[in-house]
Amino acid sequence: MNHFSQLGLFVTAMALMVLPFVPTLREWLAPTDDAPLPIDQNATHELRHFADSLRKLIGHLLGQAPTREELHRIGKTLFHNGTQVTILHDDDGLDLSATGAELQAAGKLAHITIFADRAQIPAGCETLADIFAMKDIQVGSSAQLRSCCANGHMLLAQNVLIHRWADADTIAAGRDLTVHGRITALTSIRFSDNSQFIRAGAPVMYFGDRDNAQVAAIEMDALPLPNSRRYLFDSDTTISDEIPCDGDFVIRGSAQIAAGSTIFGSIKAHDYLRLQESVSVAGSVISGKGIVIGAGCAIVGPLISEDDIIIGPNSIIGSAAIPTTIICRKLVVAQGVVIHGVVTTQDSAYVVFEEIQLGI
Amino acid sequence: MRAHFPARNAIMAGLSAIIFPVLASAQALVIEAPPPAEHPLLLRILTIMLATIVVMLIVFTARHYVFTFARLFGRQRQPYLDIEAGNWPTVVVFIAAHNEELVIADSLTALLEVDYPRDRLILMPVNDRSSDDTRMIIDRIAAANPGRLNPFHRTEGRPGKAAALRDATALVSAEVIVIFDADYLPARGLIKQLVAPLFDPEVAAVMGRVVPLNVGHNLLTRLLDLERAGGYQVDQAARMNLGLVPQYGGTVGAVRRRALEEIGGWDVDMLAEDTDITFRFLQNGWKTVYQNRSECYEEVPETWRVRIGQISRWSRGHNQVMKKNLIKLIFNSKLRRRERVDGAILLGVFMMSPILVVGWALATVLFFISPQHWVLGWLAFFALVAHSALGNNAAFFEIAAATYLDGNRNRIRLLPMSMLGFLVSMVTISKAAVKQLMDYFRREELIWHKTERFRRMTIATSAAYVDTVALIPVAEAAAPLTSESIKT
Repeated sequence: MNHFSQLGLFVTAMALMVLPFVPTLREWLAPTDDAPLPIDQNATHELRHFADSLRKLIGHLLGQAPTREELHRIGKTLFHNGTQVTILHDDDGLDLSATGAELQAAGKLAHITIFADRAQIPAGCETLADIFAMKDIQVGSSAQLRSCCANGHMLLAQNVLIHRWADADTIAAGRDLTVHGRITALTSIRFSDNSQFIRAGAPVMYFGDRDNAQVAAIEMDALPLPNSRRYLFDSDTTISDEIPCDGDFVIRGSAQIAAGSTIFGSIKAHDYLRLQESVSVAGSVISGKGIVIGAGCAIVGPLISEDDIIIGPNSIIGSAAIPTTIICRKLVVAQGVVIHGVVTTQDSAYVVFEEIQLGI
Repeated sequence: MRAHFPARNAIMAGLSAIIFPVLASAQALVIEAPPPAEHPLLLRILTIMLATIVVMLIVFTARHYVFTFARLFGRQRQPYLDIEAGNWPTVVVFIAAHNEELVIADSLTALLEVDYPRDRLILMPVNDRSSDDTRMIIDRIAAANPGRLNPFHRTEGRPGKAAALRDATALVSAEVIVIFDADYLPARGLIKQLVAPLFDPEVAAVMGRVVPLNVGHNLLTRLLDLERAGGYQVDQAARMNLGLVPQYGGTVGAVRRRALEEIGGWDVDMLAEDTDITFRFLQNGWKTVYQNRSECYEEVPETWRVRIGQISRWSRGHNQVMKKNLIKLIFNSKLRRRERVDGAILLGVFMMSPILVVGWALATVLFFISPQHWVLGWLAFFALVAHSALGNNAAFFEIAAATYLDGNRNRIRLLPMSMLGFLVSMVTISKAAVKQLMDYFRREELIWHKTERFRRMTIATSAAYVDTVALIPVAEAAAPLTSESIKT
């Protein structure tokens, strides 16, 4: 090997070693990406985030409490950051079909439609506009909306589809409702048969026509129970009133809670967890797999499963004084259930009124 | 603390990193017929030791890959993150402060804005024997926010965070203890996120993610940002996903008081009280949860001297916990096998640097005395794995994956520079281990050293304004301050 070859080999070897450091040195000496990872300091994971944002935007556009005259003065259309905003009035002379046509036309653009009074969305209307009603809103059957918000009552006829979110003071939904995002209310939501949603939240959510489940929610003090005991089980276990139930239970296997038992504490099972009929739990119920809750149970919550949850008829989750949270992959809710708080699913929550034979 | 020259450490480590494996590999190529052994027993012992070290390196290297793949492609577990409503327990937030005048105001103001129910929240700055203006700043912010802060000024007693926390814990009866260091800037929803997993009766401690705020200050802060990302976004998150042993880190975390009392409270003899309670909880049937989305800004060291001091303290504290827990953990039949394995590896993580150095030394000795060809294969293999253990593959892969998951782009170009950080850490940790061993034989007590603060930037919230207000001398503050006046 002559000197030139040796030199060439040396230069090649050095180049191979140095090359990875060229972009490194460049980034070090002239930084292009040295900002801290962004953290939203004000984020609170509020379920009503989108509804609150829209209300804030509308408040910004129209003022907090615009009078009827002021709304007329604003006119029909204005623009905000490229989003077209339309304000519709009762006395614009629009009948239902005209409103539908207006909405469908509006939906072709990024659009917010504000109903200055009561809103009536015709049956079968399909729009991508964000709809906001200053008072009540009534959505006709088989309507397909992007998002829908009202300061008053929201009445959804059957087979309504909402792509993103719905929010109102109170909501009453007809059967076959589908919400691909979240549905929230300041006061209450009433779901009918065959509804489904991803997330939902309200101080009280009814599933079915009856106002009260057949069981009373557990009353608790503001502070949690002073749980002084914790029971650990290393295998599958059945818990009943025959053993002390005044503490927390951790079961490293599957667990069953016998019918009629009352647990003054929380339950965690690594595998499946089944609460038989009329069980009361004054704490959280958590499982690494599925949870099945029998009829007439009362749970303070939270209720958390890394798999699916089935809630049997006439059960109560949370209480008016202490709203709670349900988290799972898929949730099935039977008729007569009352949930106080928030439901978050990964897949979907289904409201099913016909009885399901589980075979377990 | 004595000043260190990082380049010297790096050069020493770099030379040893290159020379020993090269020598070992060269032997395989050059020597055809090795001479017969003069000390066969010694040779066998050294060879077994080297083989053991090689196996350990393989385990640690494989662990990096498993974690990274689990994070990139596995099922992600965040079961408690969406808990919005519940019967929130009473919480005390300890803000551990020892000479923190540069940073304490920002931290307190950020905590005053959290959305946790006020009637169930106690904010308690734990001012541990500060000799600067920390006390004055705390008292002024407390006066400006009547009824919100409950300062605890500790003027005597044993030094150290564990001792301060023990004394503070005795003062309150809240069910949950949340701990922040004084340089941390919690977001509004963070307390709820950290407390939420404690609805699970099996969970004793919760750890959030630490995010460096002063990333852009210099090369060191940028390298530490990459390292932190790898450690949290991949390492901790993967442990959570795989049901292993996420580590409670002593800050941005919550602890269930009942569980703490059950294991005997804070051990004031521990330098790393956080790691200590992680393992004591584990051994007593409790779990630690890591919440990757519960992020909080911190300040990372801006000088190599401070960084070396920090990692030296971590190393000594961690090894102290290892000595206390390792055997009990391995033979604890109540734990799942995967928890025991991961826990043992986690306990030994700061021992790997001195072990690696010992491995190189062994390789060198064997190079001169080994007559056996098969040893040469081991040495070559060891050289390769040692190379990986230094970070050119396994650990770097982890960092790269974390950067990708965080959505960052160009900072990944600094990855080759991480070799510098790894080498400095390796030498520092090895020196700390040797000193710890010597201290053990001399019966000398481990001493806690505080990490120096630099605060030059803060977040764009009202916290940014308090620093100025709080540092006004008391005499000049004629009118009492209120929250509103601070914000404006």
